[in-house]
Amino acid sequence: MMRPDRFMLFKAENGAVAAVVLAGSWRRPSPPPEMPREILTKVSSLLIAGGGAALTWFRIRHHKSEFSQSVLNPYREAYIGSAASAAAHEVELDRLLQALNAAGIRSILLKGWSVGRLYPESGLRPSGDIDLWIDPAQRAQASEVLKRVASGRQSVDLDHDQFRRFENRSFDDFYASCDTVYLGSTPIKVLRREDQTRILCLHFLKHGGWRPIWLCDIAVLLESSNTAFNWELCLGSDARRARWVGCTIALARDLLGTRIPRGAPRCVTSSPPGWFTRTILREFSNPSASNATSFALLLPELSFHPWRLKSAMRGRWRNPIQATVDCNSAFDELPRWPYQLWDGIVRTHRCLRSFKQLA
Amino acid sequence: MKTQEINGEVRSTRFKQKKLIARTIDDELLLFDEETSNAHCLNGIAGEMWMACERASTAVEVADVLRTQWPDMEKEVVWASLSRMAAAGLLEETIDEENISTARRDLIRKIGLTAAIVLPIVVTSVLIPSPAAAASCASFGQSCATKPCCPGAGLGCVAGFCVNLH
Repeated sequence: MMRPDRFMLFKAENGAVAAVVLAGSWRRPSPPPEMPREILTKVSSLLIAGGGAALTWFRIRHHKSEFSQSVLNPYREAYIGSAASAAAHEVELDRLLQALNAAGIRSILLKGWSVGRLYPESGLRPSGDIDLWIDPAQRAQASEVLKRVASGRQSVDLDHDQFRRFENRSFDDFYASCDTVYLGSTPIKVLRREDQTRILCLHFLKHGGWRPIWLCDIAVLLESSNTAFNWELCLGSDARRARWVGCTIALARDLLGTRIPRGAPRCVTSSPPGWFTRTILREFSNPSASNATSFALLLPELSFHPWRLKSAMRGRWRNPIQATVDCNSAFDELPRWPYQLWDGIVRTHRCLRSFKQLA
Repeated sequence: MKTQEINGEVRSTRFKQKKLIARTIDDELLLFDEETSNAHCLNGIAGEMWMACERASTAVEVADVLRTQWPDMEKEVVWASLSRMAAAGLLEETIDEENISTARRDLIRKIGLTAAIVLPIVVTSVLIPSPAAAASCASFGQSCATKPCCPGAGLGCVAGFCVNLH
């Protein structure tokens, strides 16, 4: 388990605490809490915002006598909410997949239920969008089907830039190696464990490591089977991206105590760079994600509120992870500020260009 | 007199499950109303009562079902519990209007719920945020106050909302 250094304790203490609370919480039986109630109270809002509150309840619910009702209630309510949302999510997912299957449309379910089903209980992670990757040749047909059958209560996301950005394999290639799992009697295609681990890691990085539950997803997936894990498939042929994925898995090990499958190569076993861990802990400490608003809108904003320069600037930088990924750069020990600066310039230029086009 | 009125209510009121999503979690019954986004968690005995109302049933009929597990179950207690669940929006309530007037019904409900009947049920209600609020990022037009705009779609956070920047 990781020992936070002084910088972390100063900048990201709550994030480190949240990670300690979540470590191993998905296992059955979950580890005893062994933490003072002040800790749970302190990080409750972080864990609720970060999606880890239901999982925390799963960890502490058999130790209720150790905590007061005021400590327990937010976690229990989050768990009830999460379980209810998951139930509604499953009903809608079943309806949509039945319709798509009946129309002969090939789809792959990404994230969400495809990893939520691996937790010991439904509803231990929050349910958001239904993320479906549709055969590109059937996209229009799928949209028609979904328009007809979707209840509108759950949003369905068919756009996944991640594959365009990070993968050179086709839909057919992924689809051919998918596992088929069942929701009730409805067959659902999900990525095989190696592909899904990779996709979850890249998704986590793309969002700058914002939500602790996404790291738990990776941990749950890695521990979901005792069968041999094909590291080559998971890490891919691009050495730089293999290191990105490797660092994320190493982080899941260091922060959450994840058991890594055997045979991991060096890009997984070696420690991630210090800036990487620090950024993640800072993100875990921040209940709302950094918005990285446009630089081009800095001047109009400052003309109204010039005294807000410092906070306005702070909200405009992508975090070191996002900036590095956006620049397609290496996870090494070099400083990150050049990437952040470059990312800011690129985004500002892009924004000014779009203003010019509008004018 | 009061006892007679309660007996009339117990026999003339029928309770039927509302169309809710039901799941068992731990040893409790979770009910989710998608229309109102309210989730309710019922303890074991309350869950059994709700399950016994699959078809419209009176408190007497429900009490008969429950007595297989809880032999001392009183029909008045069942009626008061079912009334409380109906008030929470978990059951539909139909009353034979010829037998009992609204005014009497209200009176009896008041008596039933405030008298010394200790209800064995526990209902925890939670308002659930919409699925959009649970999503990992905000799409066009949504608030970016607490989550980032979805990357890759050319969105940026302006004045607290995700707008198209290119």
